[in-house]
Amino acid sequence: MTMFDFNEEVKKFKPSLEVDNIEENVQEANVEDLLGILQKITKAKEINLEKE
Amino acid sequence: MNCPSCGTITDDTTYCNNCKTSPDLYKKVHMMASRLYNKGLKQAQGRYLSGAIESLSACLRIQKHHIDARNLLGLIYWEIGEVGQAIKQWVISSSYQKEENIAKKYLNYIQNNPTKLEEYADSIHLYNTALHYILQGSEDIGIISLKRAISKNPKHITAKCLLSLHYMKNNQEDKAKSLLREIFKINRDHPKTIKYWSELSSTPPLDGDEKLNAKKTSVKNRLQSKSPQITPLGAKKVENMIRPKSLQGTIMAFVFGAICMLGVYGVLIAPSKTANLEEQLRQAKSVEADLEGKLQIIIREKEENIQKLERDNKELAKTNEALQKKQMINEQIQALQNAKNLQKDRAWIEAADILYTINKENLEEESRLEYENLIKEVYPKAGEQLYQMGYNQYQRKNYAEAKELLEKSYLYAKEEYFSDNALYIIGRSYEAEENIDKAKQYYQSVIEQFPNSDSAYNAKRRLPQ
Repeated sequence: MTMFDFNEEVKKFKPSLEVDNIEENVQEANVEDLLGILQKITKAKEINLEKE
Repeated sequence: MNCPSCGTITDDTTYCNNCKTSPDLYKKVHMMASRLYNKGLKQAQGRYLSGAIESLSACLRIQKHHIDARNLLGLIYWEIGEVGQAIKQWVISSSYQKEENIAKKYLNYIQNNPTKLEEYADSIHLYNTALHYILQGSEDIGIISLKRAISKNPKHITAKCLLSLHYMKNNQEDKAKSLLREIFKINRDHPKTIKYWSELSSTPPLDGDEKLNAKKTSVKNRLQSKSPQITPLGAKKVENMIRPKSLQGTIMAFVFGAICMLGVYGVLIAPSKTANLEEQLRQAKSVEADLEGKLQIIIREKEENIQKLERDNKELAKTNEALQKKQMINEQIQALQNAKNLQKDRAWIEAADILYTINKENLEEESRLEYENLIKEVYPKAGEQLYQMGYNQYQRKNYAEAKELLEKSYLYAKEEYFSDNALYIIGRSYEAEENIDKAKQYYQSVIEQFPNSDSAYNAKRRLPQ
């Protein structure tokens, strides 16, 4: 059987999100999406145009 | 045209004066998100769950308020045993859209099944513990936790994948393959599973699974080549989408979202945990009641055993007593027989000695009559013999022997012609030994019991001395 390095392979496994940690994880996940960023850019553009 | 963001009629496709956004840009972003959602949906339907997670996550990075994408992502996480991630997605979804949201149904399901949630949460915790142990070098302990994690949630594919890696390391190919097949049935494109399978076998893991073969060569290419079905941008959908906000509005929305999170936590998760603890408490009480019941049964059985033993003991004591009595009766009958034999041999004193030991109350009627007849014959003759012997000893001045023989004579014969004299000579023997008090007692006895006898007369004469 062709084998890879077990220890190296195990390092690729990450701990799962535990139910007790959902609350803080939800708050951390509340990041801006692309749509929000684009809307901000559009608004900034408008402000710049008004200034000019 | 209507602005896809706010619904206001506008002629400018590049800028909406009402919501301060670009309708064209908005449409493009929405279409990108929809395309990714559709791709994710198709992948999920084909059980290519890892690809679906990737597509839906990308969709949410573009449009985080895409409720269907988020709910589906939660559902996929639930399916592969990542319960924490699933609940997280549904909680976020519920906070973005409070009405007509299937995420609420999922969360209600979890809330109403605290035992299942506890098992799934335990499965994750055990997996994390196992991973920690394995990384620390305690693989044996880690594997025990890993197996328990899988037993708690058989769909926890990450745990299964790690366990299959352990089997592969230990050359347990069949076990590893079996686990990997189980994972493939849940998720056809789990990257680690595909990699491990390719190490073990060149054949497809599941029969007739040609798609998976193709998948093994290039998962991403195949997924990207699929033509997505773009959701039509209807007015209703537009209404459901998030309105553009100012920076202050974004902050307000963030704060509102956080408050909602806490609210959802308080309403859904905390009660679930409380219900869980209550369930545990109820189970513990139930176990305690069972044990109490068993203890009562054991105590009752023990008491019954003690009572039975006491009854048995009493029975045995009675039997023992009866046997002892029987033995004693037999001994007395035997003694009576011996006395009869001695009587035949005219050995009166020996016969009297034996008869004296017999208690006639223990004899049956017939034996008792025999006993009484023997007494009538033997005692006077034995008394007479003893009297003669005692008197001889007195004459020889052997007062001690004389007293002993005469005492015995009086014991057997109290109403014979020599009885008064036996007592008198005992008195004389004491007097000869200078035991005057004792002598007086015997003289007194003679006077009282045989007042008209010669011995009484003699005793009266010796008393003043």
